[in-house]
Amino acid sequence: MDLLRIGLTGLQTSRTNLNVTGHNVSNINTDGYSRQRTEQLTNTPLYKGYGAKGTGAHIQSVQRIVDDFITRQVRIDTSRLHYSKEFLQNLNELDNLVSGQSTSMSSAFENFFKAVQSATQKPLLKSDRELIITSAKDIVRRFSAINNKLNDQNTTINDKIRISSNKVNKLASDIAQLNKDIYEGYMKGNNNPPNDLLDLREERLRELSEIVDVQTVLQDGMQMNVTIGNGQPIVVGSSAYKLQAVAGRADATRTDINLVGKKDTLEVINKNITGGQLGSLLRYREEVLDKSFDKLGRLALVFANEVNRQHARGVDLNDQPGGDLFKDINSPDLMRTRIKPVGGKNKNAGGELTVEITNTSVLQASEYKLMVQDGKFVVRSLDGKLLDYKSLPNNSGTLDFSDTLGFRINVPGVGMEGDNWLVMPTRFGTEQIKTEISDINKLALRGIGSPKTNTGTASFSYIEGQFGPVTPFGSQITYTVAGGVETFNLVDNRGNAITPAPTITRNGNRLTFSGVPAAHSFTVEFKGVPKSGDKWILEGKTGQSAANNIAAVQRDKTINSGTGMGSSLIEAYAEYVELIGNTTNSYKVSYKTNDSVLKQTLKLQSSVSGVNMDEEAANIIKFQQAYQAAAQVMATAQTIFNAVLSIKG
Amino acid sequence: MRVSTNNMFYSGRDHMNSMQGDLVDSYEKMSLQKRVVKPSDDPVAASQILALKTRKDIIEQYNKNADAADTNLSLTDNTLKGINDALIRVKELAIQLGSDQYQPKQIKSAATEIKQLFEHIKSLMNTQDSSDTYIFGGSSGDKPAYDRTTLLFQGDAVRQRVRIGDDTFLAMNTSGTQAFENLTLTGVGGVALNTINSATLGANYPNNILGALQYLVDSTGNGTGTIVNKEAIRFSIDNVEAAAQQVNLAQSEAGARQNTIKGMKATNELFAEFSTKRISDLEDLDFPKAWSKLQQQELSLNSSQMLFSRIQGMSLFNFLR
Repeated sequence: MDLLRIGLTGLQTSRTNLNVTGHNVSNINTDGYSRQRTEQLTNTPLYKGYGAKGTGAHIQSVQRIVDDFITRQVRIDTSRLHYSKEFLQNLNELDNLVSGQSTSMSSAFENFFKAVQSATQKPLLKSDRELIITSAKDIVRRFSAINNKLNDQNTTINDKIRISSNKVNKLASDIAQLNKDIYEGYMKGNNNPPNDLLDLREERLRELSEIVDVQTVLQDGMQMNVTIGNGQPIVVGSSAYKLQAVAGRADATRTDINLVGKKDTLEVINKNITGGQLGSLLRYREEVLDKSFDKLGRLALVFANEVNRQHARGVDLNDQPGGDLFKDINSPDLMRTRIKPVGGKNKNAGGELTVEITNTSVLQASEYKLMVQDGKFVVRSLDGKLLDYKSLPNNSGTLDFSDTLGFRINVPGVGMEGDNWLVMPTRFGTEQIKTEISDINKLALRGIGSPKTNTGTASFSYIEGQFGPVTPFGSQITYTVAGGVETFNLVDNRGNAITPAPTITRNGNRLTFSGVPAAHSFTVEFKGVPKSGDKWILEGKTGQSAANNIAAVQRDKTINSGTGMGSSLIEAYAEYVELIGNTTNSYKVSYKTNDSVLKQTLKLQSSVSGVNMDEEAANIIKFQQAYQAAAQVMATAQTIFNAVLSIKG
Repeated sequence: MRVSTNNMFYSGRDHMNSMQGDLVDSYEKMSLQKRVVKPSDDPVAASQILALKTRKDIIEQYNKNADAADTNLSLTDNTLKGINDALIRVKELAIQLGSDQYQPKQIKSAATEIKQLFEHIKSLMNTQDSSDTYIFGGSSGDKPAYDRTTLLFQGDAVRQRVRIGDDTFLAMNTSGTQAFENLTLTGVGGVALNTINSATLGANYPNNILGALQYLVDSTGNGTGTIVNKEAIRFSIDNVEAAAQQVNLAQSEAGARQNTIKGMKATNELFAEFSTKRISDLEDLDFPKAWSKLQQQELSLNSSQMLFSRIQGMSLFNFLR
């Protein structure tokens, strides 16, 4: 009977081997599947007088062929790839946006300044004046198109953060459940591994690593504890934590990620989320998207402010001083948007704080934290560096950071120890730029001109003015020095005295004329050095010296001139384009690298754990032959038995 | 090394994918004929291109300004020449009138002609350009430079300056103040003309070309030739001469400015040409190079496709029948 039993064990082991091979073939396209092999052992021998006599074979266990180091490496490389992939995808949108002919700011600026220059040729030509207004509107339109695009991207990022958080939750709860199942599997399987469940858990972890960095610790050899980002626990044994995407605490338009604690406590963990798609979204938002809002916002603010400043120094065709061509950057409604309470005891009792931009030459494309610390108002960069501080009696008045940061903060008697605010001077620039003038007669292109005969270098411009029905335009401001006494006077266009004589008050480089000839009052300012005998003329309707001054804004180093060599508007835009180009380029490279690294690792993993059809085909032949041989053994046993039976006495 | 079946499949597939990506990129660049389509294609070049294009645009605008100034100055030049010619004729006539051999009939016709030339010069001094601006009015070109009855200057002395180079402004107008005003004019007895009352004007003669001419016209009986004040005519000859000189000076000064424009435009055009070439160097596609790269990519894709179908056709299962 021994032979029959031995044959039977052969039959059984070969069948199991064939089953495992069949399982491998069937799962060749199953994600995360690792090929399986049997561990086959000889049965316990029988000890005879001649020694041990074999009793066949049995299957000890079915094992997955895996390499834990490779599995972990796959997760790391997957996180890296998805980090750079998401970053690149978002950057590509900006890359296309800033280079497009119809969306690029540089051509819009150029068109505006061209129109202004054309108007210097023929200041009364209606078509040229119209062109100034349409090109100003075009600048606003393009800023708003860029703003919309950036906002769209922000909305998409918020959505993606929400979806990714949900995915993390789903995967975490799957993994927790799998932990439980696997534990039970080990128990049921006599401490043999539940292979397919292990594969599934690893696949879920790999999926999780697409979203965020993943670290694992194996507990008691069976259950997997999982932390994400830089050590945030998400799965402990068979229970999982939850993430929650909510409107941002400091800025409701920027979604935060909260961790829901054991007692439903919420904690913002943006900083703890690193790697993968989610880490990439958070980092991109901070480093590229918000920077873009700030950089382009500053461009819009400085442009509007500089043009307005020059335009205000001109006089329009209705004999009025130039009004705002673009919306005043310090309108009360805009000043309010630039600061938001973040936390503390006294959120905004007693009124809102406002931020007034006072010095565009040092204004940075940055955001700041303002907080009350030791009774002082302290300004820090977002990463916590101390920038400036001021104390304010009764917490009421103005914090003047004009020289260091380019703005002032008006505090209406609020602020308790620990209160803090987010200060965003430039964030909304692209959104808030608007044109104010659509009547071509309100373009103030004339100012104060000079004749050919002047020998000094002084040039004049209006500071403010009120002009009555009998205008003084065409009159001349004269300057004479006699016996060391400087005299400014106002005479008519032919040099005759004006009656009644205007009252002239001088204050440094400023002269105020009143009662010219009646109901007029205006103040002018000069730069440079006048020489005795020089004259300046209050330009008539075809004057264009103010237009020349507006046109000069194009080449003026208006940005960062207070902190470095400064850039013109278009240079600053070109710097931004270069930055986006460079960043996109470097992420293209890192995406490619990470892609090929992951492929390499996957290849390695697949070479260890992947199914090879030819190999399985060969195994089928091998196990089929073994099966047939075992059957033959049994047939032989029967033949022998029959031979014994046929012996008749 | 052991290779899994899926591995063979994926590596073939991925390779073909990336080849196709490269091909699309090449197609796009070839069809746009540009090397730099997006800033990331070459960030430094992209920002240089932006700067150069802006620079070129600015320079081209300078040249447009220069052209406009040139047109204005040509009109000014021609008008001043017309005035000068008329003044020379007035002077000739005045010399003839001042001589003693003139017959009453000749006196009458000369006086009439002087009156007509006076009106002609008045019109010329109120010349308007294509956009109806009075060219001698300075910054008050929306109203006539001279009042035709009082003969007074209504404009101002402003130079309307346009930018024709980075640091170069050019005045594109000549003000009446410069061309026609502030003359030293004298009447009979060497008295300053602006202290003599004109019966026609009902005021003193103004110190400008029109004042000088009005004095002459008045001394010929307001163009009728009935009363002729030879003494006043002799003084007028000097006055007209002084006026002609000032106009002449203004004309040649305008001509000098046109020369400045020519020089500046040549410099600007040289720079614009240089920028165009530089932009093209930075931005345009090197066609032969791009073409051979494209062919290489196509060939490479073809061979991967062939290899893929070969490898996928090989399996031990094909032989197990």
